[in-house]
This record gives sequence, structure tokens and C-alpha cells, in this order.
Amino acid sequence: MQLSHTPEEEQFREEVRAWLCANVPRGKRPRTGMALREYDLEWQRRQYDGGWAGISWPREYGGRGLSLAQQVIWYEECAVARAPVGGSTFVALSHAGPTLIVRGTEEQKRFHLPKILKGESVWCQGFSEPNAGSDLASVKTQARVEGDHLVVNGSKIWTSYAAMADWQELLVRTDPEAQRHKGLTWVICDMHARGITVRKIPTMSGTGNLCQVFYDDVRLPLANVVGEVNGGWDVSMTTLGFERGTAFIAHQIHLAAMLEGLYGLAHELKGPDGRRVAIEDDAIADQLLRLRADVAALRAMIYLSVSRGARQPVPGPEGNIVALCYGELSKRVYAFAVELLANEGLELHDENPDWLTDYLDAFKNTIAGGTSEIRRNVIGERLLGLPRGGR
Amino acid sequence: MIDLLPSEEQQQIIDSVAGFLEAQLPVTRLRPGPDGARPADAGLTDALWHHIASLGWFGLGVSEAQGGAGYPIVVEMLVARELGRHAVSPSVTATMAAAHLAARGGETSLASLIGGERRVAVANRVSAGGDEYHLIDGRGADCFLILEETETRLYHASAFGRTRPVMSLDDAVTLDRADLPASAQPLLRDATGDIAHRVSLLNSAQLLGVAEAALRLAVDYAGAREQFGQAIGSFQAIKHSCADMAVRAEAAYAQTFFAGLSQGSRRPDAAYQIAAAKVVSADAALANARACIQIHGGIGFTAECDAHVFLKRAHLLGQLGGERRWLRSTLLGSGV
Repeated sequence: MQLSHTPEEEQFREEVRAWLCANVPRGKRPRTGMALREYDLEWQRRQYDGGWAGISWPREYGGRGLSLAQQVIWYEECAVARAPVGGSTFVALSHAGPTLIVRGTEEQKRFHLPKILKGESVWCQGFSEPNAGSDLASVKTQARVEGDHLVVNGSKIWTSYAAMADWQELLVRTDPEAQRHKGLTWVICDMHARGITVRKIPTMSGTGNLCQVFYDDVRLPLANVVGEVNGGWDVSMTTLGFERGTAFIAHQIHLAAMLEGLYGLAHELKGPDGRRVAIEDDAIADQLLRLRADVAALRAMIYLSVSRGARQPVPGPEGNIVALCYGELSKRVYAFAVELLANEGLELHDENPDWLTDYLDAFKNTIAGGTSEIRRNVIGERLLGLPRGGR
Repeated sequence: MIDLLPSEEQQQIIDSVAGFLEAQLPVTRLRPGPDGARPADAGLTDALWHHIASLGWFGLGVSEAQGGAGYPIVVEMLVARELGRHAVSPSVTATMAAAHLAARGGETSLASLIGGERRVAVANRVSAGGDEYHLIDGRGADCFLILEETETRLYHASAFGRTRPVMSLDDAVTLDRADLPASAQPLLRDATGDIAHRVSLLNSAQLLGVAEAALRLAVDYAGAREQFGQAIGSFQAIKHSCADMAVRAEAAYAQTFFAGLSQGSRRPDAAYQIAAAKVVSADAALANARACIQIHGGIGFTAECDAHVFLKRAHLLGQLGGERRWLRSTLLGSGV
């Protein structure tokens, strides 16, 4: 056990801080559409030009090859500098890239990884289907082999950013005879290919990045398969391991920054008695105290997963603990924001749209990438060793 | 470099402490005998106290120059976590903390604390501003350690008057009420917050141990007990409850040891982290103990199931090591 930064790490933090201070985009980030894509890619390009893209990625693919601890420092400083995190580059940077690094062919890595780091491509995820959500192994989107191509037919849903994406990590059924997870293939799908239709799905938060994707005889080269044909389940577990582990670091730090905003808000807004500021109210103070303790613990849990990461390079099911905790806690933080805003929270106007939209948006945090219930199953079965049972 | 996992040496310490406690003070010792009664000292005899002293636990964090082992606070916390798991008297960690208090003042009493000749117990003010205290496992103690906000004080047992026994919710400890006159002079006192932080961390570590022990007990039972022809742990209602227990235990572990490391490296936010650790570990202990009882069903309601031991210990420890006013001023006093 230790908590000390080496002189190199301190030096690194100073460099990061100075660079971010001069380079973080000032304008408000658009919530949707091609304007969002351009904003996110421009920020990614700027990071690349400054030598900050792919901090923990291997050098041979354009990354910095630095430690996970340094990646954490990067995200911490991003939070301090209020730099944009996540968004339309999330899948590329946090799933597709890491998955290709571990499982991709040399050709796939050389083609895609630099594009991701340079801010030249947006990725989306194609796992869930209308009839395969939590039961991911039941995916039905078909792909038959024709010569050196896969021909895809079917539909994927809950695909964020599909309308602006260039590439997709697509999980398809290549062996219709095989049982469940045995006949699946993980393939890189060109979102500009003929036969792809994207339909936007309006959401409860009004953010318009969620889509359904339809595939009508879409031809993808076999060279785009990651891992083996019919070996896609294993690859997708690698992908989800990243999603549930280190990939959440940025979100968690962002949540801490949000809570600090609420702490400030509780000192400005009037409390329930209409006289004192909200923080003077016992019930509000107790809630804030509890949220602060829990957000502090979430940060410590990240450090714990970083500690594990240093001993096992591919994340295990432990990542589900952090992901579950983050999802539930983020909903509590935003629910508290709405409580604090009281009647003001019924109005969407310039001063508080972020709190309200974020509140509505946070409902996805216990659904996307694995519902809280599925995560509890994984924790129960794979970490605690409880027997598998009916669902 | 941040590493929240035990090193190899630390793991060896954990294994040896756990092995010792499992052999000498298993939780099963607290089960009622045929007459329904328990041993009054909850198994922690004078002989065992001296044995613990001979293992060096009371001077674990005291510098080698002063007769201790010179380990960082996280090692003391690793021991405290095992003590919590086995529902051992909080007098052990009180004596560990008192040794630091004595070491700081260059007191001659230090050797007798480390050597096990003097036994320190916890005294806890019953209500703010009053002069009544709860003495926890205080019968036979030489001194009492009091923690209030950032101040710790050590009193000779004779400073307390009008001592009268009360029934303890946690019947693995004895409980007395006693008066401490405002004029009573402490033997030792520290107002820098340093010892107070240690006491709070040792309490949080014990609470973590309780939370983890309740989790383990519940998971073992859920995997073994069968209903409807299968282990009850295969049902989501039980499995999800266990998963939530695991999440709480993980949060308590991470935050408590992060706080311990923050204290060890004198980070400016150490007090904040320590207060957060207290909140999170106290919640984990209590919530896990409650869930553990529920998962056991009917047997969980009986005295022969150990689940209630963890519930009662969670309540006891939850009252120690960081009172509400301190938690509030520390966690809400300023922006992070």
C-alpha cells in the first residue's frame, strides 16, 4: 500500500496542468448533431497535436505508452480544468481502441488506432438488439460468409452517436446453428457502407444521440473481423471489461466536479424555509454530507481498480463494482440537484438547463453498458461465487 | 503511484493476525452456552491480552526508537480490520492509540502500554455537553481514552465516579455509565488532531472488518442453504442483496485505506478523507449486518447465528471515532 507520487509523476502533472490551461476549449459543447462531432473531434485533434492522445496506449500506434497512474492524473487534471470528457469519442477511445490493441490484427491496429487518436474517426457500439438487451448472447443480427465478405442483415439498437459515426464495433451471429454465445463474431463495420440505415430515437432527456441501426445486405470484408469468426463472444467480453473498468474514470471525476457545483449551489439558493441558504437546512446538509462521502469513496474505488490494473492488464469482473456504484450514485447526485432547485427545477432556462438535462440523462447510467441488475448478477456469480440461476 | 492493495509483507501480517484471532477468538466464542450465558470478558482474558502484547500489536505503529515496530498506520488498520471481523473488544485499538499518545509526549507509561501491563478502554460521552460517559469493556481497565472532535484525552480510571453497570446492546462488551467531573485532569492530551485521526481510522477499519465478515457469512450461507431444490444464492433476490453488500464492503475498504494513506503521507485533505471513511464504513457495517440477518431467514434471528453479533458491533463502533458535529464540519466545512 502506498500513496506517493514519484518526481516523474509530479512533473507529469505540472506539464498536463500547463497544457490544459492553455488548450481546453472555451465554448459550450453542443449537445447533439454534427456540431457535437466536430467539437469532440477538434478537441481530440488538439490533444493529439499537443502529444496528449492515448496516454496509456502503446507508442507504436501513436500513444504515449505511459502508466495507468499517469492516465488517472490526466483525467484528474482534465476535471480541474473543466475539459470535455466522454461524448462521441468515448467508444473509440475507451472500447474499440483498447479492444483492438488487445485482440486486433496488425493491419487493423495500424489503420484504426492512429485515426482514433488523431480525431479522424467516431465509433459507435453495435451490441444490443431489440430482442437482445441484457441477454446479449441471444443476438440475432445475421452475417453469412460470401467469399471474403460477411453479408449482414438485421438491426441494432440503443446505439449512441450512430448517426455521426464512421465505424462500429458490431456483434453478429455467423453460425445460426450454434448455441447462443458460440456462433457470434465481432466485426468492424463501416458506417458509410451501402445498406445501412440509421434512425434517431428521441430520448426522455431530449439529447438526440441515441439511434437504431438497420442492416440490409451490408457487405463487410472478412479482414474486418476481430478475433476469430464465431469467436466474437470472447472479444466482446474484453470490450465490456474495458467499459466496466478503467473506461469510467473520466465519468467518475466529472461526477465529483458536478457535486462540487451542487455544494456551491447549496450556498447560494434559499433553503426550504425561504430565509436561510439551503446548506443551513439539516436534511439538505445531511444529504450533501452523505453524497460527498460516497463520491470520495468512488474516487478511492477508482484508485483500487487502478491498483488492480497494475497487477492484471485486462480488467476483470471487479470493474462491475465501480460501474454499478457510479450508475447508482450519479442518479442520486442529480436527484439531489433537482431537490435543491425546488420550484426553479420546473423551468428549463439558461441558468439551470445542465442540471435538469443531466438529471434526466442520468437515468441511462444504470441501464447502458449493462443494467445495474445484470451487474449485480455478475458480481454475485463471478466475484462472490454464487451459483448461476434463473433470470 | 497509488496502490491500495496490501504488499506481500502486509499480506503476511494479515494472514498471521487472522490466523491468531481465528484460533483464539473465533466469533463462535460469543455463542451462548447451554445455560444461555456468555463469558463475561468475551474471551479476551488477561493471559490473552499479554499474548497479544507479546505479538507486538500495541506498539505496531510506534517508532522502533521508542520500543515499537515502526509500521505505518495502514498496518495498524489491517490489524484493526481483523479485530472487527472477530468482534474483539475496542480496548485493543484504544490501547494501540493510547501508545501513540504516550509516545508523542515521551511518556514513561509507553512501555507498560506496549508491554500489556496497562489496559486502556474506550470512554464515550453519552450526550453532547453532558458529563456522563459510557465505559466500554472498562471493568479492569487502567485508563480510558476519550475522543472528541479533534481532541483525544487519556484519563486514569479513578477520574471517573459514580460508575454503574448498564445492559449493553452489544453484549460482547460490558457497558457502564460513569461521571467525569469537568475538573478532572487527563493524564495525556492531544489537540493537534493527529491521534484523533488515528482513533477514527482504527474505528473505520474495524467497521470495515464487520462489513466484510457479514458479507462472507451471508455469501457462505446463500451458497449452502437450499430451498425450492437449489441454493438460495442462485435467486436474484438473494444474489443482488449479496452484490450490494460486496459493493458497500469495497467502498469501505477503498475509502478507509485511502484515508489511512492520506494520513500517513500528511495530505492536506486527510481529515476530509478520514471523515468520509467513517461515514462510508459505518454505513457498510450496519447495512451489511442487517442484510446478513435477512439472508439467513429464521436462523438469522437466533442467538446461535453470528449475524446479530455484527449488527450490534456495527452500532457500537458507529458511535465511536468521529461524532456527528465533527463529521459535518469536516465534510461540509469547505469546498474540496
